[in-house]
Order: sequence, then C-alpha cells, then structure tokens
Amino acid sequence: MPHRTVSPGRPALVRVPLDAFAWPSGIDQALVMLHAEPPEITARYGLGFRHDLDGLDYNLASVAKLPSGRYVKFIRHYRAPLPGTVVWVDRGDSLRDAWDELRVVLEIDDAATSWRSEFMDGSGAQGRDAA
Amino acid sequence: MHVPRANRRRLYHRRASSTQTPDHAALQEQGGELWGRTNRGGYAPSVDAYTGPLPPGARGLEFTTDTPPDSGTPPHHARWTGPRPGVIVEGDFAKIRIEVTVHTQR
Repeated sequence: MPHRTVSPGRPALVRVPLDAFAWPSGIDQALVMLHAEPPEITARYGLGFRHDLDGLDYNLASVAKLPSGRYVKFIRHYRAPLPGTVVWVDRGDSLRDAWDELRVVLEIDDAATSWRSEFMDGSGAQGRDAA
Repeated sequence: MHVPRANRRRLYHRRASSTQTPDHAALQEQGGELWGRTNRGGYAPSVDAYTGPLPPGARGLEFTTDTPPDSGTPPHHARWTGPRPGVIVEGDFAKIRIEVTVHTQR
C-alpha cells in the first residue's frame, strides 16, 4: 500500500470498540490480506488497534464500521509467519460487495493486497467448508 | 468419511499462549482432540491453527488431522467450523480429531 494521505472527502471509517460489535451471522470470513501493517493503517486512517487474543493467537485488532453499516475487522497476529493485516467480514456478507466498499473507503486497489479470498466472486460462504 | 490421503500429512500448529497452556497441550495430545471456542463478536465456535510445521525453537503443538480445514482463509491460517464431517460442535466448542506430531510445551 503506498504511504500517502487519504482524501479529505473520502467516506468515513468509524472505529467500533472490540467489545461492542457482533457478526450478524455469528462468525466471520476472511476477505483480504493487506500488505499494510497496523501502524501504517493507524497513521493513514486514524484507526487504532488493541492487543487481543483469539482462537489462533495473540494479535493486534481493530473493528470499523463502513458507511453501509457493515463491520470489518483488521487483525494482525504477532506470530503469523506471513506479514500483513487480514480483513474479516461477516460470513453472511457478500465478499465482492464488501471489497468494493472497503477499497473505496481505504482508497486502495488489488495491489494493496497479498491475498484475496477465493470466494470473492461467489456469494459469501457457499462451498466454504471442507475444501 | 473418505479423506484424501494427501491431507493426512498436512501439518498445522498452535503456539503456546494463555489459552494454549501446557495443560491444554497435554490434554490435546492424550485425547487426540483440538477444541476451539467462539471468537470475539461471534456465537459460532471454530478451531483455529497456523498452517505448516511448528517453527524451530517455538513452544507449542504441531499436529495433523484427517479433517480438511475450511476454505477461504489466508495461507497461514487454518480454521475448522461445523458441524460437518470431522468437525463436532458441542455447546460453545468446536472439536476436531488430531494426531500430535511435535509437542514442545512439556
């Protein structure tokens, strides 16, 4: 992700406390992995991260609400073998729609990602289990 | 359930943490099961692990399993949700059968 300031008139990215959100479907799904690490995301978008622990490992996490009302969660596991920050959305959400909105809000494109869900062009969680 | 032979040799690992303690690791090895709770913001439990072998010198548990992980996760992250064949969901926990290959939390 190029290090530059976002446009003043871009759609808002509103931070939500980690304890104050819930995935509508009860669980999340990975959307993309950004090259950017949390400090860069904080510097560029003013989105603060918090130390947390989930089922995988210790991490830095932040949740934001997009203009549509959908939640996005940014997670960087400290001991992940790959660099970057993974963005998660609700499992019932359309990955394509979520990515279309997020990239507008963040003013980024596919080049800002090191991985994108193979379900990006599908309809959410269909065919998800038991790869 | 038919499981492709190649999947048996896929390795995964959990790193030592406050929720992956030596006691947990001992139970996981003895019981041959890995359990996972619900993550923040959700109500559906999952079992989560890093893909690949335990890094040299790291404390944790390396394992293999006949149950393939969900698809649609980043390359370093394996996740099992259910219920589906091989993934049991009981209350707040998801469970999979595992075979421990390396245990460095003793």
